[in-house]
Amino acid sequence: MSENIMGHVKSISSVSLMTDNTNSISTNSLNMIDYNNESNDLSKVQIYNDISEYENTLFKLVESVDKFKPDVKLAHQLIDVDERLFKSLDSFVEYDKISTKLEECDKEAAELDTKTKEILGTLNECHGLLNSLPMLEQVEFEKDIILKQRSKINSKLLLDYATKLSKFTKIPPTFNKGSIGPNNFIWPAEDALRRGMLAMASLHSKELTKLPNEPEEASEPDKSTEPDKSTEPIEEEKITVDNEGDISMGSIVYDGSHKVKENEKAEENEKGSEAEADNMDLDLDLFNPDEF
Amino acid sequence: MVLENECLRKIQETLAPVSKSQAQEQIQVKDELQPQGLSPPQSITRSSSMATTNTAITTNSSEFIPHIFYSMYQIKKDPNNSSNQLETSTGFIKHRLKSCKTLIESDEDCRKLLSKSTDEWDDYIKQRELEIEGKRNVLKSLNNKIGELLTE
Repeated sequence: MSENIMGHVKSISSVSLMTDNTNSISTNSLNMIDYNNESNDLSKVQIYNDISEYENTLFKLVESVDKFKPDVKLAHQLIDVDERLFKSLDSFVEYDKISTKLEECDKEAAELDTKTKEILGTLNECHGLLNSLPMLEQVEFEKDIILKQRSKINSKLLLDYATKLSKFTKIPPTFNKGSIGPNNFIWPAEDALRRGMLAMASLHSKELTKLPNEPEEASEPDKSTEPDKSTEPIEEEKITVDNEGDISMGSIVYDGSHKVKENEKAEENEKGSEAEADNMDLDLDLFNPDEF
Repeated sequence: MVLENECLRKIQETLAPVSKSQAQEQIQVKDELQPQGLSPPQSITRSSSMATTNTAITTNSSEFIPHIFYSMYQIKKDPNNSSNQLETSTGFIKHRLKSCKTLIESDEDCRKLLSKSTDEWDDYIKQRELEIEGKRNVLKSLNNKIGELLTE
């Protein structure tokens, strides 16, 4: 691990040295470029060249004069250079105007740039604000939905009103009774009505299903009346069916007939006891009607 | 004429110094007019232009050449006088020339300004003015668009 780390450090240090070297090379090269640029700039400056030439010519002339060998050509050359130098000095007025114009241009450009930056900043803020707002299409869509919802009456309100009215109204005459409506109608639905009719019919099934020549007694047993002797066999039949465990008649109500049955059983037992004398009571009859 | 660019003014003063009284007069007129925000009256402008032409004349006929020829004349007149040497008599000329060179070398803006010819600068300024005008037009059109949106 430590070797790996050292290796990494070495590689990093070598990389940093490389970068340092390259940086130093680049700075050197930049300095060279600057120097070259400076020398190029100076070589382009006319008055600088004139001054340099003036210096050289004057030096040569002084040297020639001090050696007592004055050169007339150098004197003429010096006059020419002097003329050129002061001619370029005269152009300073124009250069001064140019400098003033450039300063004005820079000032205007800077003002425009700051103004443009401010405007761009404001536009950027506005753009952000507009982006944060919902889209126009979305707003219109939501507006339409709200208006539609407002135009509709609330179903709960409508139902409340309908329940109030339903006490005094009937099924509309124009309503198609054949169609099965939804369950939340203010009047019972068609199937519910039918079910009600069937229920009523089931209560009076024997009346409805009886044959025209059939006697009324057989067809309609009267449960409300007290048990007569004539109806006893029928009830006996029912009880026997009950004792056998057939619970198909769920709607039959127990009316205390087991007491009658007990009496009958007691009579039968008496008869049986007479017939089977001195038989032991094994208590095999598990049926206890009181449990029901 | 007093130049506004400092470097140019220094070079001019070094090579062709304007007489002190003339310079002071020009500066005084300028100082009086600047706080009031007034443009110089025509008479003063004329006088200043006259002064400029005068300085132009003086610069064209520099003081260096007459001084050199006077020194040479002195040497010719009295060659045995050790004080009459062209080397020493032209020393102030060399000094001025050197100081001018130093000024140009040290001031980058001045170097840049003088590195191009006046014609080149005129073209550059025209181009720059066009750019500024373009920027102004862009801002103006933007202003108009915003105005239209606000009216809508």
